[in-house]
Amino acid sequence: MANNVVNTRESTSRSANDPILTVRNASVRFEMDKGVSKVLNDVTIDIERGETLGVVGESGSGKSMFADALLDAVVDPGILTGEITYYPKEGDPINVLDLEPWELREVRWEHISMVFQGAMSAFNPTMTIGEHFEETLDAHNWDKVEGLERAKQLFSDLHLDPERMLSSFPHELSGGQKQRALIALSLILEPEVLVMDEPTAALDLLMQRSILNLLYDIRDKYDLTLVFISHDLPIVSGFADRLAVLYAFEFVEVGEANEILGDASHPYTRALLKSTPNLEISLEEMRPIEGESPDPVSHPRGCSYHPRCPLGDDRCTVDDPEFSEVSASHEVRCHYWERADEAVPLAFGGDDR
Amino acid sequence: MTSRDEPVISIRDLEVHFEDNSMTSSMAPSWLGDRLGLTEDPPVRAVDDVDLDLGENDVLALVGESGCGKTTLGKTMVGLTRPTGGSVEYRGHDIWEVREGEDDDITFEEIRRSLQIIHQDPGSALNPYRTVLENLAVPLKRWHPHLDYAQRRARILKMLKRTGISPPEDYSQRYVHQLSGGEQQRVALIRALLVEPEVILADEAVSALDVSLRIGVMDLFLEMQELFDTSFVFISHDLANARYLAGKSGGKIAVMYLGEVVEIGTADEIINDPQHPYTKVLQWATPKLDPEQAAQAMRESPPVRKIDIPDATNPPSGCRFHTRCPEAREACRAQSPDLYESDGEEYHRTKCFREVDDHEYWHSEEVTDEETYGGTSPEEPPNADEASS
Repeated sequence: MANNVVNTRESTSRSANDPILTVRNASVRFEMDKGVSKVLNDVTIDIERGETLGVVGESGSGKSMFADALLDAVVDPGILTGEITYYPKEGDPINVLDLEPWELREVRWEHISMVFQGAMSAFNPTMTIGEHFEETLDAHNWDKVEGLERAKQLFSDLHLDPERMLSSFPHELSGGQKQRALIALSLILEPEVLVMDEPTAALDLLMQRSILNLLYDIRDKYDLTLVFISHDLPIVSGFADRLAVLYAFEFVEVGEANEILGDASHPYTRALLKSTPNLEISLEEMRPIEGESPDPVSHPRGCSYHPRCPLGDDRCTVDDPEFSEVSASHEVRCHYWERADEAVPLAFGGDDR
Repeated sequence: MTSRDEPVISIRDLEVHFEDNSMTSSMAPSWLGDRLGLTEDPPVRAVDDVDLDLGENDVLALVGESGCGKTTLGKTMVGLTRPTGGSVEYRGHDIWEVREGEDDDITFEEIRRSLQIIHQDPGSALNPYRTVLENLAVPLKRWHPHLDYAQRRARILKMLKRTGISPPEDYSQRYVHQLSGGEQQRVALIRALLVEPEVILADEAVSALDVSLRIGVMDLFLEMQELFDTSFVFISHDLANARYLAGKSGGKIAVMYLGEVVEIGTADEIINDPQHPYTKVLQWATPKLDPEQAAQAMRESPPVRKIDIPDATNPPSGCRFHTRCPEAREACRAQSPDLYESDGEEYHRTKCFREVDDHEYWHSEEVTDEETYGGTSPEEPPNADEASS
């Protein structure tokens, strides 16, 4: 058993069972001519106050739908069902899917904020960065002077020159600067939760890592809960406290990040790790994942990964596995998770580097 | 003439600078420009002082940040961008002399066909109004006009099958939007291969794909390289992709920074024994799978003094990396290092004074940031020139 997990990283800023967001049986479906397309399938997860949750999945695994669902922002004609509850620091729990439009507007930005995919074009090219901040403060009736002071502090925390930033137009900034300015904007109304959907995908690796490093530093300072969504499992390693792996619109493995990386127990998670170009495992060990992800219209019966799984057998074709507990902080949806490490061997930092 | 040792592409003292040719600066008379406050922008120094050889059946991976000049260097290598200094030779013929008709031994057309390119976004590189078959017929009609429809179709179907697109008959009738990203990239590769080129430049050809699909597409590239004896120049910002391609093919990795090659070597030399402080930065930026290493890398600050890359219109003096380098000393500010040979290694060259044991670098003072920037601003403007900030 590849048990090279060392549980040394105790979390300091969060305690278990103090969720800030709970998601219960969330599903998103689109009714189409060729049938019902289920792009989020009965997802349940708790997001703990102060944690950084990494949500990882390939293109078309439903990860953006998950992000949209958290803010009740699924596009028409998508239908979101289930229950999403937000527990603010003070006051009563809020049922996110049950809000009036004006209430929802307040929850978005002021409580749960989001940085979308394709953020490069998120700014209005005819407005300065400063005007974007003023506009947002205005729309939510916040004090402008105070707000801009906070903006300057955010800029300098993100290694940006505050004065220059406020007076710049978007085209005067590099991609990495724009992305950081957008993160600052998303934090201007002091949200508790920041949801980021592939926020760094269009940047080069060095900038991506530098931004993650800055986020890692500011999350405690601003008391943030982060939900970080990416197709790139290794990029969130080290950054996220917990990881949730999405496959075919469902979570298949959820747990402490170092357990998921060091002791991945779903054959899919293991295959995903193996298929990622990296500097650690030998070239011969890196392998693409065979087969293709299922279509949202014709979901396979039983376990959705069985057509591609080396452990798949008759049981997997009819019986959809429930979550099994690998450890108190790690669960996996696979009938044969105990054999996953033999079926998909994986070694880091091996001697054949 | 065509001995195996002779490089296919050979570049010497290459320099590519871009002038600002916008309407305002080129058409307005200078007195008007002055009154309107238009200043003559200095050229963007995309590539400077690069020497490289690409052999037959060779693989070269160019790695670096956005804006380091890797795409410009690649395009210059395949004759798509004209250098402002130095030379680019294809089998001993200066490409641009051939183009100007100063070298009649070979035609520019022949060179053009031999050097192909695959772009980053295959979705927009292929014609959306044509089927896969029609898209792929274009290069064949151009370079093999004697083939009839049935012959062209047979060739295309064979290539589709070979690159793992099956059933080929079905796929050949699809439109580009009906293909996945990985499939589109395969079609783009086939289109380049159909004209039997000697060199293919693949510009970030796997960056837009999901991480989990990259190995599959890179494997296909390597298989095709073997099969057709094609040389590849791969451009990537990701050291892990470069390692895979160069490592599996026995090729080389060249690390670029602000228009210059700062380190070059085999995959093993660059990954397991990086010498240049910048290569070490790229290594830090490459995500780790090992949980302990990953957590470690996140706790450490990036091994650069500044996050953003300086402006290429006004690169720093001396060693261009000295403004961000954690090892920079005064000597780095004054002089530019050569590409020094690294000890006992076959190809390994590093553009850093730290390679030279008795260099004055070791006795000079460390660079302090206040002095370097003349201010406390943590950022430099990416586009504006320094005088105005």
